[in-house]
Amino acid sequence: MDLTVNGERHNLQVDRERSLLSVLRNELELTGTKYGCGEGNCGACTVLIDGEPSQSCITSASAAAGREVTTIEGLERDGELHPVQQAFAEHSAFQCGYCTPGFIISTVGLLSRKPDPTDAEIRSGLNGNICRCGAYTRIIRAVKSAAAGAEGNAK
Amino acid sequence: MVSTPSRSPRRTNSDGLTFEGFGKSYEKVDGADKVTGRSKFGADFTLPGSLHGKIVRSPYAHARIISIDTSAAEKLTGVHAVCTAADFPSDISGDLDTGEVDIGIQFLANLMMARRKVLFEGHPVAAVAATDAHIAAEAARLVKVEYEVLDPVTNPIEAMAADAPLLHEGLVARSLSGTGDRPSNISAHMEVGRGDVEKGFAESDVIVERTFKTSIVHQGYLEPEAETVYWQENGHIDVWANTQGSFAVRGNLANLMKVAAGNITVTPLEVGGAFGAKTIPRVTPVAAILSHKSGRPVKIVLNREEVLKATGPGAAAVVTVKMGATKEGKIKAAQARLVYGAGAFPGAPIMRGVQSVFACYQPENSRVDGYDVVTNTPRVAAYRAPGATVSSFCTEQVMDELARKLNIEPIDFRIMNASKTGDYTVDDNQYTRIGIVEMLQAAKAHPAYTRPIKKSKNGWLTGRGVGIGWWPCGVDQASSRMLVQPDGRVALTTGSVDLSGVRTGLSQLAAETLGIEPSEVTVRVADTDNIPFTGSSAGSKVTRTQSDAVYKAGMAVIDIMRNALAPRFNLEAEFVEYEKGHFFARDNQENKISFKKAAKIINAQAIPIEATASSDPKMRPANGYALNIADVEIDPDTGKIQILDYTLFQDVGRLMNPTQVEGQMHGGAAQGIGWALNEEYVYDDRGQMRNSSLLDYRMPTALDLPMMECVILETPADDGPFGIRGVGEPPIIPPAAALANAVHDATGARITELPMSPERVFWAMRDKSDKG
Repeated sequence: MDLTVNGERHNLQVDRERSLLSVLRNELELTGTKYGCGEGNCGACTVLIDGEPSQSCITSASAAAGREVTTIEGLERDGELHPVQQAFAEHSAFQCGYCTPGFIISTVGLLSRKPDPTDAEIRSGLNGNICRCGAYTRIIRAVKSAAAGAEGNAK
Repeated sequence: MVSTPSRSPRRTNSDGLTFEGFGKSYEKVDGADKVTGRSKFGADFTLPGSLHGKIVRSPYAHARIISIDTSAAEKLTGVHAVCTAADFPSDISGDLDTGEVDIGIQFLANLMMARRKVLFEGHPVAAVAATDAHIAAEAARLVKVEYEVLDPVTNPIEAMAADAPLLHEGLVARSLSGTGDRPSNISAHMEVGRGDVEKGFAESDVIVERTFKTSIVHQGYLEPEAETVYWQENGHIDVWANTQGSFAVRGNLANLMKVAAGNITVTPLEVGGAFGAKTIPRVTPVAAILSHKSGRPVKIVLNREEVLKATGPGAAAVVTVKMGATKEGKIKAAQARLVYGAGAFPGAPIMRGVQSVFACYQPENSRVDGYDVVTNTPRVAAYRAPGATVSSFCTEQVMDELARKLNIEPIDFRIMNASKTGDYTVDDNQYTRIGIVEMLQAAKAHPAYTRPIKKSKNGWLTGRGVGIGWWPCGVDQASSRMLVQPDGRVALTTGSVDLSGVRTGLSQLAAETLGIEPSEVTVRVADTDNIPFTGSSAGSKVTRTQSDAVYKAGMAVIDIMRNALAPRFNLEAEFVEYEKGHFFARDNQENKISFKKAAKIINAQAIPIEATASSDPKMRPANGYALNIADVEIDPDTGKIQILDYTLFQDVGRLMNPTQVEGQMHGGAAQGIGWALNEEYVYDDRGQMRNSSLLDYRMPTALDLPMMECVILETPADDGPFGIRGVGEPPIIPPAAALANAVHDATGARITELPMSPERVFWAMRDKSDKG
């Protein structure tokens, strides 16, 4: 099957029912996307499929074929961090950092739908992601800062 | 361990000294790697040629193993090794290093791989290694195990009964008053106390006694255990593990495999959360046996169901607390009986439970009994301040009730009876410097305590509760090496695994010691061959103990540089001074040499600027303590609790990096709130876990938690150069207590069981109104 990940097309000989997460991690060696529960409950495996945050552990590889998949490795542009990545680093919006790629991808998806979200919209927008280190307060700060930065650039 | 004797003046206790870089927030040094997904966690590391290991687990909570047939699995194409307990050395002995919770070596071996009996659902009985994960899974299914199923017991109180199913036929309770006379599920009985509690209760005007229950909870780290072991033909074993303690893995593996520790190298990987659980070996010994049999590296990665059913969660407990006080508010007697479920093998955190249950206070007479009980549930591990959260939930509610009965404001009642520096714990340890009274007074004066509770927009009942908690914090040898590069950058190599901020914190400690910027220091975590012994990153001790090691290494480095520069100043080294990044002659400060320039000059002379140091073994623990003020609203129709306001207080000794401290405080409170309101293991009567997914074992998300204000207090700790206290564990302790007291304030009902689910709160309210 043909899988386009971070703008690069791959022709893969894999079981069509294998999870996208497994294909990303094991075939394409993109290990930034994490396994947390395998059942779509924790958000550690979140990737963008055609711009929409999707849980790659419960998405079959074939369901992503022919669509644009973006992982955490695909957010940087010309060696520059994506503004959301920048904001998470600046606000230390994590402790262990394991859930961070999933949160960042979910945030990119959220901000593309709602460029200037309220606190409540951020909380419900990120409700599918678990941060067991409990960095939520700082994650919300980082999301707001990234939103404000993007708005500032637009003006 | 310092390579040159330090002659630089030692800035001893931090009292009165100011530290220029302390109190400033620094970004995490591993931030860029974490936000790009470049950090290598356990499952992200793959050695070429690795086999995939899969563990075969018992479907039963309690059964005798009649036979294991591995022949079909062995014949499957792609399978390179199959192992059972028969492949593990059986006559093993030795010391174990498991951080905060003890376990005997033979028990540990049997926990890794069941021998004769399985004792919990998910107990390993065999394991396979194959060329890919799918073949490994298929081979695991082909292992045929015949069981004789036995009745299980999952509740620690039921397990204590004389007619309870016996887990270990030879287990006889240990206690101070001698060992028991017949086998039971009670593995140990601890008893401590001061004075005469019966006399104390007789002298009390008011007595309150309540029994509390808490369930098994999981640390909930998002990254499952994932480890790779390569047992090479030359006998050397290499391990890559997402562990809290690389030296603990080495020591435990050496004992379990009967291999010299020097033949094992452990390289720690990034750890995606641990909270105490990743101190006990889980996967490494199994991967080691499979690697030995196959001659190939073996990687084992657990899935979420395995993590919940078969790693080491936090213990369930049943605790009775009885306290008596005079009408003036003096606590005359305090008695507690703690029963902790250890899971399948002995070793619940009863000692910490016993120590912490009355630690914040000074009852005139005390008596505490702790029971360690085995049950058909997974063997527990440490969970962030193990024992103390349960202690606080129980004692703080009894304190609140006692104060209300005495018509004394609860916070004043706490202040009147609080432990102070130099007082003694129930088990006769003297407190080093503490500031519990100061913390209570700071809370009492804070707006979070003095302002009115917000009105409920839903028209629900509202209330405010206070809870405090104490934690001893640990000490252990900690080692670091400092090397000054020719360009003046400092390379710091440390033995402490970085769970959430070790590299960031140690760069700040090194910078503070040397008078340079943290950005000029690069910290790396070493494997076990490249640094002296360092204890696990557990017990809230890393920054405190490493502060001593890093400071000593820094002082030694400065001495090397002063000695090397002395000829340039035409002076003896003792007349060369170092301050704020510059070397100069004591009598002539005109001609200064910067740290950077000195590094270049000295390295050019082929003089190594390097020192390794370990922390002082005489360093005593510096206790941690925290307080929460919780404002809640409660739906009278459903019992649902919502948090209106939440404020955290904690004494950190010396505040280094506010961002890091805030992170720990928020994180501990988030876990504490989850434990208080949502989280518990649910077992059926066959000992099967009914909620082994993250959908049913519900941890807090962004929607569940309030914004939390942090109030950071500083009572410098005794010992060590900077007065630092441990920060990581104390924040999880007070939430259950503060929330339970807030529920009582709102409803008049006492919630004596965790979690405080809507159902429990509803029935407690109903019970109370029935009784009028």
